Amino acid sequence: MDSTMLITIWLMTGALIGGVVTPVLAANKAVNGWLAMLGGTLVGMVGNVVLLVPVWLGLSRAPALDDRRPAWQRDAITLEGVRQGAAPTGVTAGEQMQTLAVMLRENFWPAARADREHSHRGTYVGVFVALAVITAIEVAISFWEGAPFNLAIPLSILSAAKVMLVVLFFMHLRYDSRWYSWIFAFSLPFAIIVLAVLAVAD
Amino acid sequence: MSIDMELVADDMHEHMHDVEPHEAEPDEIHMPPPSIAPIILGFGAALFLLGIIFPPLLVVGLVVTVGGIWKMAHFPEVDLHPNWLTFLNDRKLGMWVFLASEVMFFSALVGAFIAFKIQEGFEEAHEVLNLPLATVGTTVLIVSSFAVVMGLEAIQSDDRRVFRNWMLVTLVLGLTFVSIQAIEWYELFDHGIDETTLFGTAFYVTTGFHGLHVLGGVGWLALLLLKARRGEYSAQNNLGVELFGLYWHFVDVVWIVLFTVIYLIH
Repeated sequence: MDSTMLITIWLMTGALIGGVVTPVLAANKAVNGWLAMLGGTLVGMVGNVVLLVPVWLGLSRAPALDDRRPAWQRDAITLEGVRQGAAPTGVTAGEQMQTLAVMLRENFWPAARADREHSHRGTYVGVFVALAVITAIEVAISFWEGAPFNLAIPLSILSAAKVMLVVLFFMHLRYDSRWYSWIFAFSLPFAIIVLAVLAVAD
Repeated sequence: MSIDMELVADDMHEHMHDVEPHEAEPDEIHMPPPSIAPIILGFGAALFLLGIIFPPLLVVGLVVTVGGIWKMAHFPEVDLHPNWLTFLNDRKLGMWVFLASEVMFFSALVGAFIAFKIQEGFEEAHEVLNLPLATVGTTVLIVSSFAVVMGLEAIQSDDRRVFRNWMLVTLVLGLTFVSIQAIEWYELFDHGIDETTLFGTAFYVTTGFHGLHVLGGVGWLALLLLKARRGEYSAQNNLGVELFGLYWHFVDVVWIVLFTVIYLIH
């Protein structure tokens, strides 16, 4: 499987997702379903082209993999290529995937700290996954018809959990000076008073 | 202790590498000249907002704002005498005070929305709100928050390429979120929900102020990327990135609350 094939499959996937999801989103809307599907297909395909830009940027800047072929073979192919005006080929799909993995790692995985300070990379990934999972649970709960209790209660608890995750880990309050936490918490009584007064007032 | 002093001296030496010898006196402090750029930026943003009343001002305001950002990007990042009471960083303290004031601002908006919801129910509005689209928007904001922390982590270990890539990802996601909001507003307006209805007023004011915060964050991010391009940030100097991150995460936090209050709770 060469790169052209991979790119074609990538674009088809985008078009397919766009074509299926858009009519679903546009259901109950004053939009023609077929038109929505056509538009979704186009947007999905173009979106996937846009998503390819970082990959292309990375590939064009990534260092080339070592050529492990013997010198005589490499020279022969290069000479042949020069003679015929074509670039040397012979990179397998596995090597391409490897290049892709190396590219992703080099461009999107932060290096370890130079000083022996603890790096938070793993924590951040974990918090991100937790946020995504909680969001999915929230949306699923909101579809629950005939629940034995008011759905506002679990939804409030879950979104409070999300807020705490972001504030403690992404905003570093857990690692920073306690003073910043106090300054931030100082505003909460005012916020609660405003909420209470507005909710009770008629 | 003596080792520490040596390290500090080394550090200072590194920073003074590109300074003229006579300027490197330890007891001399060279403040950069005052800059007019923040005033230009503020004036441009004000013009841009006035464009709501008089649309041609949108273009003028945008041009002036971008000019201000451009000029500001050429201003050095300085952190002289950074500490107040010796243990809190001034800029970070200012950021947290600002965020605390923002909590009060948004709690008034959310409080008003909840109060109206208790009174009116807003049941008919739930028929037209686009929950799948809003879920996509929420996911986009959460991913962008993740992108900012990964970028900060990268620049703290001097990994400038990874830093720049994650910041570009954040920029694209921020713009995507604003576009999704625009689609949602357009759809609602199409269904006859405008400023004359109670739900319309509450919804547009709340999400509108949040959207303006996202747009402001995108402008700040553009400034940050321009500075990063000039090599301003490094493992030693990344407070600017951290402060932007605090703001961006706060905007994310506000949306987490708004999403629950507006879309999920019936």
